[in-house]
Amino acid sequence: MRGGGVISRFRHKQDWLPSAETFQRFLAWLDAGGGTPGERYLEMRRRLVDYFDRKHCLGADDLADETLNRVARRLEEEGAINASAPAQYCYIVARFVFFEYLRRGDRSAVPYDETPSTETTSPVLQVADEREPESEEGTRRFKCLEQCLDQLPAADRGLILAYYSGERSTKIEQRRELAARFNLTPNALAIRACRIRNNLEECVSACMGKE
Amino acid sequence: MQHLLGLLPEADQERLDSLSVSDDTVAARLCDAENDLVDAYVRGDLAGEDLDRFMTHYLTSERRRRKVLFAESLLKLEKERKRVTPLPLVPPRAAVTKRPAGRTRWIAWAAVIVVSVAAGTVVFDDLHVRQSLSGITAALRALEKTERESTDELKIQEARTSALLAQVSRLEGVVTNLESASGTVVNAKPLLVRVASFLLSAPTRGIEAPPVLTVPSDVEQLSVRLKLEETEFARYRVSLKSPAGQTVLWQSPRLAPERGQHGAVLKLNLPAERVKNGAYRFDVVGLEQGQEEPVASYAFNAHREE
Repeated sequence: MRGGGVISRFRHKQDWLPSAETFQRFLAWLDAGGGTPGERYLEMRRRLVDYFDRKHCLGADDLADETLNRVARRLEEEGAINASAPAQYCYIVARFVFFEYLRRGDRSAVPYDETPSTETTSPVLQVADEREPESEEGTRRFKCLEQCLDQLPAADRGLILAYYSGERSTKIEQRRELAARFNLTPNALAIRACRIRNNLEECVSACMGKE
Repeated sequence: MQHLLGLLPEADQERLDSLSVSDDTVAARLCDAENDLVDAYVRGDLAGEDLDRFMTHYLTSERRRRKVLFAESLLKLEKERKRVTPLPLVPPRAAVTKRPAGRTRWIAWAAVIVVSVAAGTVVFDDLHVRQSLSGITAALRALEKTERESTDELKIQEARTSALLAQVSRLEGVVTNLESASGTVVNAKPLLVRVASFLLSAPTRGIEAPPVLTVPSDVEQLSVRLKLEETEFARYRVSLKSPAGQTVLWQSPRLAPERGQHGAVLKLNLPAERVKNGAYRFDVVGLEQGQEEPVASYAFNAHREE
């Protein structure tokens, strides 16, 4: 699982590192009393990676780390950030990071949509190549998925397999039954399913990297 | 879903971007929608503009392509588990009642016809009425069971067929017969997307004329494999450059080398329209820690057939 955010690999801000105390304060601030500071940090990092990725930025992980780095530093410098809620403030900083990324003149600063390749390139074909069912990589990924699933608590394993199975037409009813079975609201069920799936995806990626 | 496919107006897109980071509920819904979108794609449920946007907009990032590969594994797992034991969440009847009425009726009529034939057989074989009735009842029960199994099986088959059709349409551009000599058209099948495939050898130091890639006029995609002499990098990027070498006409996403019968290769898929008649080259750079290092340059002459 990736999560070394504050200790950024981002070149421009590589020289600043938070102290352990600063980092703890940053985690507590981000969590805003939620009681799960580590999880909140990982969740925020994931959202930021998704944000930069949707913006077609190259190195979305690094940009997310840079964002969290800046927020942590600001917190250290100011002692408190009261202008916005933590998550909202992270977004504000992320936008600045994004605009700076766009302004940089090197090739990596060009959003994917503006490169000559995007209009008609069909990346799906590259995916398709990797999707050959008999491919070694596909087999390895499948084995990794089974291993990662086995590491999940039984309830989580049951939930994710049920939540994402079935045809499109039956999913709504299926998820309603599932929410009732787990005594969760549909929204809470969706949040839990997403979190499990994200963790599972990261576990599979790590497993693929290890083998 | 429109947000993920880049179909929203810019202002809405930005508002959702903000909420996707700052609002827990929106972040969860977006995550849910994204997973469902990817699952729909691998199941072959996407069509029309959604499918086009998915391929041209959504699949442009490596992270998202990884999500698709993950979803494929998840779907494979679901299918394998179903083969052993069906997931009990939705009773099979619920699924059957959602089938198109016409097909269900057809199956019912087929059952009636078969029952009638079975009944006739029983009557002729044994004129005893009670035995006939008993036989008919048994046949009817067997047929009801068969119908239930058939409808379930049909449903699975339909899903498989639909997924296979979608997969075929996506895979049709991937041409398998790449064993032919480099620089020649290996295959250009008259499928939905016409693809010409080429294999370019690693450049040599000798003085050799660049290979000629002959591109049929009706080809829409070029599938090119570049043989690598060495694989010292985990990721590469390839640029198609103009004859003068100044203009980048096309650029690949980050590519991992793949090992096949030709050794290590980089697989590229690019629109054929990028290439006209003339001299071109593919410049390959290795990527490491945000740095790019030139690796090789594959010169070729393109010939577009009229």
